[in-house]
Amino acid sequence: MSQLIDQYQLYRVRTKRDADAFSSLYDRYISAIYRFVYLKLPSREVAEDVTSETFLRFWNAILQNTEIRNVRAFLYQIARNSVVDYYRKAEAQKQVVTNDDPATSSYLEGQFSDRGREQRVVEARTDLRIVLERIERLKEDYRDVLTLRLIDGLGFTDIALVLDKTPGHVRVIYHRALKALDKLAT
Amino acid sequence: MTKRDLMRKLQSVRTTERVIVPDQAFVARTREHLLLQVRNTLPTQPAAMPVRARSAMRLLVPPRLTNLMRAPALAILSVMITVLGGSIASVSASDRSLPGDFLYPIKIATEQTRLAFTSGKAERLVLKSSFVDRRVEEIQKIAATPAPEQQVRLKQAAEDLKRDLNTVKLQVTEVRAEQTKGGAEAVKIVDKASAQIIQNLQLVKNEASPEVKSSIAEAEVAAVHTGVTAVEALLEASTNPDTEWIVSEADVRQSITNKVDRITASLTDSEDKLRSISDSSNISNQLQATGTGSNLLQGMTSTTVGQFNAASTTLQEARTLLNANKLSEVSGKLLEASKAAAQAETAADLLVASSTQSNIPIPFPVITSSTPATAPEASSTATSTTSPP
Repeated sequence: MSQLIDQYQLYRVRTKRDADAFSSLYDRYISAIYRFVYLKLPSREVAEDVTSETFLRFWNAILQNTEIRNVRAFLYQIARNSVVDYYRKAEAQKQVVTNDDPATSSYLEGQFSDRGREQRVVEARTDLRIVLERIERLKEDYRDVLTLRLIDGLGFTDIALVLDKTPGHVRVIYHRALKALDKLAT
Repeated sequence: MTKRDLMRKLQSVRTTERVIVPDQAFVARTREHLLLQVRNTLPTQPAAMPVRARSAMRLLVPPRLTNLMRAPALAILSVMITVLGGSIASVSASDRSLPGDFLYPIKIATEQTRLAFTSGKAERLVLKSSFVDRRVEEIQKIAATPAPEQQVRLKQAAEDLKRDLNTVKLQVTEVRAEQTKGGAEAVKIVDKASAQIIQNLQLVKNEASPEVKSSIAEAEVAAVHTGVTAVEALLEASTNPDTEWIVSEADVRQSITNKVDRITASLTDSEDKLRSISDSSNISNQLQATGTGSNLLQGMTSTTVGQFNAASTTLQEARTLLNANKLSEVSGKLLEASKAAAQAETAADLLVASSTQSNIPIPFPVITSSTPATAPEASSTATSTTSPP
């Protein structure tokens, strides 16, 4: 039902040129996307910027008539890419200033300088960092599925759409990745 | 750290995440900025038809159903493309095939199918006649292209042509018996086509081996029979006031005249061939030519001369009947003449071949004179008489 509503709004934007339909989509997903990026980024301001950037990219995709089979999965995919892009840019700026050795371009490298944040959030970020460090040791397929499932909380169907695989294949990868994670822990 | 610890930490992260709520001021501000951007860039012209159709389709058909249906639909489509596309391609390719080719049976089967789906005997006769033209074209193509087993394929093609001509002859008889509507036009087409077929076959026959020559000659005789049957049908129609067929006697007469002329021309060609051999013979060689080979040639020559005389006589009789306007009697005489002419031509070919192979000239001049025809309106060609020394 949720998907049907999304597709109807999308239909109105695309064929009826209805700007309010787009604002309905924004209202439906703004909180979810913000939550999705919040812990992965170093500060609330950056999270807000990335969230805005995500919806702007979504709008550009609609303008370019990009096929959107699932609005929710599509938005999560954009948000995830936006977070990765943020860390890539941050890394590039860091290299220009310090000329240090390059590090990995993932959101693991985020600096936890969230001023004024409550202790709980800081701890959550630390935990997330630890979990991600573990997952990062797995091969790419496993890493993607575990991150989307465990960290981002997406369903198998949505993950399948994000990674362009079938839901069945994603399930298989997920269970194999959990086993691999288990082996890594022992 | 165990997997359980890891999961516990994840749980903690998720719990924290759940209580995170964006600042309402940020939400409102971003909403405003985005809407401004959307309104500024929203296209003013209506969406293109494909975009509207795709959006509506996505709205009406759930993505899961699309996913489920896609594989079977593509499979069915592939099978249909393979079956239909393959069939069309094969039939198209088989159109250019020749007897002995891999695809030739498909060509014949396609023709049979077309005949089976054609209603009306007259229409079927016209179609079959066009297929006979194809057989002649195939013979010409095989003869023009040197290839392994060329003679075998030529022989096979000539036999196929003979079979098809006999079928056409039967169809003409049926159409004639039933006085089928549109039959007159169909029979006229057959009449004209048979004359063309005979002409084309004679050209091919000159280049063929003796064995193939006899097969082509048989096909030629079949073509003559078919042509005469057509003429008989037209003749009957021209004299029958009750029939719906519109055929003028002048047309029939012209057709018979053309046939007599063609047989005469064919006979004259063979005579010329023999005359050239006879003329090129050295007199002293002729006198010295003795022994078994010479005796054999002498015997062959006598036979050939006899056949030429018989053919010339029959042709002359046909021409006399034509001049007397006894058209109903001419057709029988025409058949007789064409058979005699075919036999005389075959005998002449054999004589020429034997003379060339044994290097013994024809022991006496075969052709002594060529007498012009006595029917000026019927023929422009000369008939000839042959005489032994």
